[in-house]
Amino acid sequence: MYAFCVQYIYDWRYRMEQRIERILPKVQKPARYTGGEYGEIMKNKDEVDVRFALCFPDTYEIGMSNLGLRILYGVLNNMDGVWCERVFEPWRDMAEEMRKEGIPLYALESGDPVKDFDIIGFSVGYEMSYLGILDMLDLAGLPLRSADRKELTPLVFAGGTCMYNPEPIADFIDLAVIGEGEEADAEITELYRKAKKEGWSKPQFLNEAAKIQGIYVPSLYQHEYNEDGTIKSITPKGDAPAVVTKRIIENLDESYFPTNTIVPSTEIVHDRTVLELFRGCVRGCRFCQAGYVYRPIRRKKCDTLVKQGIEALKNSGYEEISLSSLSTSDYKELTGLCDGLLEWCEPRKVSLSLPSLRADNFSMELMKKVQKVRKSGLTFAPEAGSQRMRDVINKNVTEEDILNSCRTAFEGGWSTVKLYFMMGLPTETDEDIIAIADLAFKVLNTWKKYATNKARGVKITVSTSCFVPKPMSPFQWEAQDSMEEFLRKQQLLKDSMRSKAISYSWHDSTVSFIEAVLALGDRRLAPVLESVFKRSGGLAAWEEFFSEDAWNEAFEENGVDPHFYANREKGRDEILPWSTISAGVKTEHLWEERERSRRAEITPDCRNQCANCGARKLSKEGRCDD
Amino acid sequence: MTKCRIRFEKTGRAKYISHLDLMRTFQHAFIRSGIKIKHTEGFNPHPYISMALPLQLGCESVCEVLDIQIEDDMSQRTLPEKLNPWLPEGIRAISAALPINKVGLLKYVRCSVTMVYDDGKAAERKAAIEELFARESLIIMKKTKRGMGELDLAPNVSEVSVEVISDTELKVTALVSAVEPTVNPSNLLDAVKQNAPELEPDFAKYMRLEVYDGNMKPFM
Ligand code: SF4
Repeated sequence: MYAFCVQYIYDWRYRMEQRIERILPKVQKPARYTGGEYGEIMKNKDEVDVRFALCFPDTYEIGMSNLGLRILYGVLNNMDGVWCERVFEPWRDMAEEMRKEGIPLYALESGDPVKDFDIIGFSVGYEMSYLGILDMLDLAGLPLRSADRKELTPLVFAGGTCMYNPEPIADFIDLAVIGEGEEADAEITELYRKAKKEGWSKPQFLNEAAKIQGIYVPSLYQHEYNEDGTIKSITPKGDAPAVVTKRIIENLDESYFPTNTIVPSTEIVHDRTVLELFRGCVRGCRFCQAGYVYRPIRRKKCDTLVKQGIEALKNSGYEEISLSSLSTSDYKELTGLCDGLLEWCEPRKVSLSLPSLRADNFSMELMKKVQKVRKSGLTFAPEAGSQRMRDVINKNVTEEDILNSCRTAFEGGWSTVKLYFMMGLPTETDEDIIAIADLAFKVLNTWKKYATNKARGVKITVSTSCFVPKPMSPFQWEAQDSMEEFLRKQQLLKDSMRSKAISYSWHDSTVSFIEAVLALGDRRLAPVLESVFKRSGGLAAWEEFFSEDAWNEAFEENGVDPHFYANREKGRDEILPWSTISAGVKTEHLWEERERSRRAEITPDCRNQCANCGARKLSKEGRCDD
Repeated sequence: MTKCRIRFEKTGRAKYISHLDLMRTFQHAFIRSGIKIKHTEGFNPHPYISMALPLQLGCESVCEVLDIQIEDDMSQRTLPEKLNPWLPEGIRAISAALPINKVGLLKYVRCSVTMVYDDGKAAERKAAIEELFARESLIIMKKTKRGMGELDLAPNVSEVSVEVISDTELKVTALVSAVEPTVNPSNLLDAVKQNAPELEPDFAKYMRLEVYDGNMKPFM
């Protein structure tokens, strides 16, 4: 795998010394712009015929913490004749220096300009990073719009969770990969290789690509609008299918997992080994896009995970391993998995961390296991304060569950608890908001009653985020609360808090509003994104670079009403911008779930009773893991 | 436990790894290599690594010193070959041995500054630079813990030589005081900038060449 070419490194160094080296002393944390980390894959460029720039539209620290990116890096580099390199969005200071000196965006491994690559693939997991795509294309010196890039090379595409509604960036990308990319990215790469060899035109290539399952070519869909601004019709052209169905990897035990991966030489956000227990989630929380788009649930075997975990730790030298999945504690053999890992980890002083524990099956036994190595604060996400509200969102957790888990935690010596809630959920009333404060107070009382170590004091933190309706979830038709309403509710909750031991923090509703516009938007947002980028640049996910004014001006300049997307309830029969895309879950099922939510009726989780959402048809065997 | 001192180099792209990150990089590399070394105490034990004289970010070096304690019974001599495959590009252990003296005795550093002049007239500045470093007193303003302060380089910089590397490059090599006061290679450039601004280069590169104790004995 490590086709290593010393000569190449010297080339890189030479060029780096010539140009990049002069600006590096002027920027913060230069190590993130040099590459050269342990485990980086170098190839001889004379021996490859496809150069692939795997781009992440956010910083190195965030991107290198992304497991999906590491998986694709490995998968693509395992292909013969393909060299996949990494590219991240530079921080402002670096981007400014690069623009000033005329240094185009370059890939970390070779130092070669991204614009000279064959394929440029973006991994997009967060709507706010759309501006990062524009920033990176601009820094690369490429036209932003797909239509202005006439040649086949470079091919620009995007994948990742945001691509369940790729429409806001439809005009910038040549194609989108819907669903899991391990196989689809490889197929695109192969098709490209053939096209390049045979000298296809770009339209010819895109038409062929549209025949691959999971490939969505925006330019092959004609959008027409009604007078009121809603979509009148979406018409496929050429060989494009009416509906593009997402890709999944059926057998996770047999699919590639990066046990031999890059170890950054500078600190990143998740500086540890990460294991993915499964894809999908059995729960079906109605606000959760991930819970729906990653269906059907596919689990990795305990043995596979222990083996891969140990191998990854050995190869990286990391001293921490974390288990990551949507709902880690739903993993059936969790105890066995922890035992298997701890057996290896404990004597080697490697710590194990379990994020996202659910409040309903938090067990003392498990807690003690993790505690043996390291003890951190506990996090629970009841999402809503009242039982009615939790039934609306299908978060099947009762107050009793939450308080019992807290009791277990306090008895076990924990004294820091974080509680996460969502605000602005459909049908929410003031009582539901006040119920959040009540619940937090009950948690405090539980501590008073059961804490084994009161001298330490207690710290309860309540955080609220603003609900963003997401495509492909049962709440895709909902309107988001207005910003004024969010502010009012935040103030109400603040005033309802009954103890100094409870602190309250909330998310800025402006960002959530833009998030909703981008999540629910269509291709008419393209000029808005361009205007915002011109005004405030990339890295919009970062508070210091997010500019409310830039967005407002851009909406106005382009005559786009953002409330049309974010704050308007959509009808059952409205053609939504993502109607041409399917995550395998039937729209009827989503609508039924939405109707049930209105009646505060819960739906049992997939393990108790299959709700027949349609996702199981995606697997050849037609079954879900249960 | 066997005490062990490693001499390593940090060159090329690796020169942008900060001191703190370098410590972590070594910790990970030791774990990967399987060489068992002593860990720190406490709740979150890490491999114990001590490094003398943090290197400035952006400065290369061929004489860095790192002390560890090996748990296994192994000879220090074989350590570099066991460790090197596990280090990132640019970081390489050169030799390892039992420490012969305390890190605290480190006193002098030989270092170089390569000054790049884009006009291709590097050689013409050689004499002037030599003259500058031969002055009786060479004051620079330097950041200290208590704000800006003055430092006279003259008594703390010796054995200065200026070499023409190419049309565009002049290399100044000097022996500088490592502690009390600490003179960084970049301070040599500061001297040029502040005392002879007309000689300021377009770009400069730094390198640490050797570390010595008070008796001018190389540290390893
Ligand atoms: S098909 Fe049934 S079990 Fe599978 S994800 Fe859908 S509801 Fe759950």
